[in-house]
Amino acid sequence: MICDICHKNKATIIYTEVINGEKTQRCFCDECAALMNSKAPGKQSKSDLPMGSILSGILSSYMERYIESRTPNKHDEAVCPTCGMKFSTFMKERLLGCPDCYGAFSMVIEKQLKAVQPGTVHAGKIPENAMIYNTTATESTLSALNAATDAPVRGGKKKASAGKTGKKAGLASDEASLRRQLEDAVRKEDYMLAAKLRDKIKELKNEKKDN
Amino acid sequence: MKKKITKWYMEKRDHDDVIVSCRVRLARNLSGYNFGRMLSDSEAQKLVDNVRLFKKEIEGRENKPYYSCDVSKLSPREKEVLLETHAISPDLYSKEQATGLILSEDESVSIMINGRDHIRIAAITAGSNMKKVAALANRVDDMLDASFKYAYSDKYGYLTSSLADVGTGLKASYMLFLPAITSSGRLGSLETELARFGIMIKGVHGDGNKSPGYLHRLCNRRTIGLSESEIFESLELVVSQIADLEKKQRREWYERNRSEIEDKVFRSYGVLKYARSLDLKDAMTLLAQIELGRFLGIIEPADVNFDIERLMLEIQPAILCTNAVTDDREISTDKLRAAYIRKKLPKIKTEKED
Repeated sequence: MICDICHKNKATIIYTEVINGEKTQRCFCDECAALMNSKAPGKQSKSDLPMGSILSGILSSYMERYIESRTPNKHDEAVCPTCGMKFSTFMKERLLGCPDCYGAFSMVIEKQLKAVQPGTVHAGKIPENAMIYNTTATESTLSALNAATDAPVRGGKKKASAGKTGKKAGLASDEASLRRQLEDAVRKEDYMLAAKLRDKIKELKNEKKDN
Repeated sequence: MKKKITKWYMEKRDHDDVIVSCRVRLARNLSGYNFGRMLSDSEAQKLVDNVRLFKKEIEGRENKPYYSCDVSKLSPREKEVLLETHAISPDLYSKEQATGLILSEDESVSIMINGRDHIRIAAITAGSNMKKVAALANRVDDMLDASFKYAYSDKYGYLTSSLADVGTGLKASYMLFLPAITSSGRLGSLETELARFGIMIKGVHGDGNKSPGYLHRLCNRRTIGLSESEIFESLELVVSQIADLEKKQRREWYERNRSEIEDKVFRSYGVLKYARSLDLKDAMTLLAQIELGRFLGIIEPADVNFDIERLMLEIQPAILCTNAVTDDREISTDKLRAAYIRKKLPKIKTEKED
């Protein structure tokens, strides 16, 4: 279904109005609906639609939720502590500024990634010598983001420096590859192998602690 | 005198009727630098200078000479040649910041510096040998890994500026010659079908049915959640099916329109042999007809080593002008192209009279 206003985008909102038993149905895309919403209420938009306060009410609550889910306003000015990339710029251009952006914007990376890729966890080659970055936000996304914006010492920065001082790739990647093998073994229902791998991972963790 | 070097596209190869070339590209970024979007000019220069030092290292390891340069300092013509031979990507070609390149002598391995990502390793070969290029790219990657600190995360793999590359950073692509599938109008449905498997197909020169020369590039869209070998396997499976379909359709097409196709093929040969001016699009389309005619056994070039895909590459404008030896500065590219094709097009064995 195509939007009745722009005749270009796919319609996601269907508005049915019944006046004196006469039913009319209109379809809008997100963008046009948002545009109408910004013109409502009171001021009727230039369009010939009988946009009453009911529609504007429905749309505004829908759009609020919609906007919130996509580009949280509170997060708009979040900035990556390492490179200074703004969250809003990232959302617009879909390009990250530096490796630490993955951690700084972790709350949306996962979602964005799902939109363009089937999986979200690396399953390929592991480098020997690389700098391992922490890309998952350990605290709740909001506090990490606040930290990124107001006080770069907390949260975000900590992650960045944890990356910089960098543990050696060897150990970490070993563990990651073992985990992957473990998942694989479970999938194939090879529980003997899975148990062995689990023990190995445990060993490795203990070794790390001891070090 | 300069030694004549055989480039990858000049190499004699096992002729494949559908697969023209294979290419592997790995996107890598270094720790300690921002990604392209947030990289300052001075940092960019530092990055380029730093990575270019790798030339010595790879020369030593591979025991072969490599060529290295600041792409941003080359003349537009030089850059165009690199673009046409696939040594650099359009990203690198159009970037104004400092960009660099390390290129093997036969141009089969290129390391692009500061394009969309800090480093992009590309390996290419004529014909169908994905395993060879994959191994080549992987070896260069290991060497770079030992010399530089890649940005990597256990969860997301190799970190890249675009989420479309993150994970393996691997894009494997096949260049395919698809005259029958394109002409039968099935390319659109093939495209939709492939999209479901996370595979993209796109015209090499222009989009969709309009790609002159019927050349299409097929590559993986997925880069994360799959291992490198899984990506290669799925592509190989799909490509072999497309190749079978293409060949089958060529034969069926010929069965149905025998005289029409024969006329088209010979007509194309005639034009290529005697035309005095050919624009790129025409030349590509006509050469494609010859290639099709050759496959169907309609015409047979007297020179068995005649390689149409190589000729298609050599008539690209910048390569053509660079290779042309002419004193006439006024001569147009189209005239040069026609002359070049006249010279290179082999005689054909006389057809059987019917």
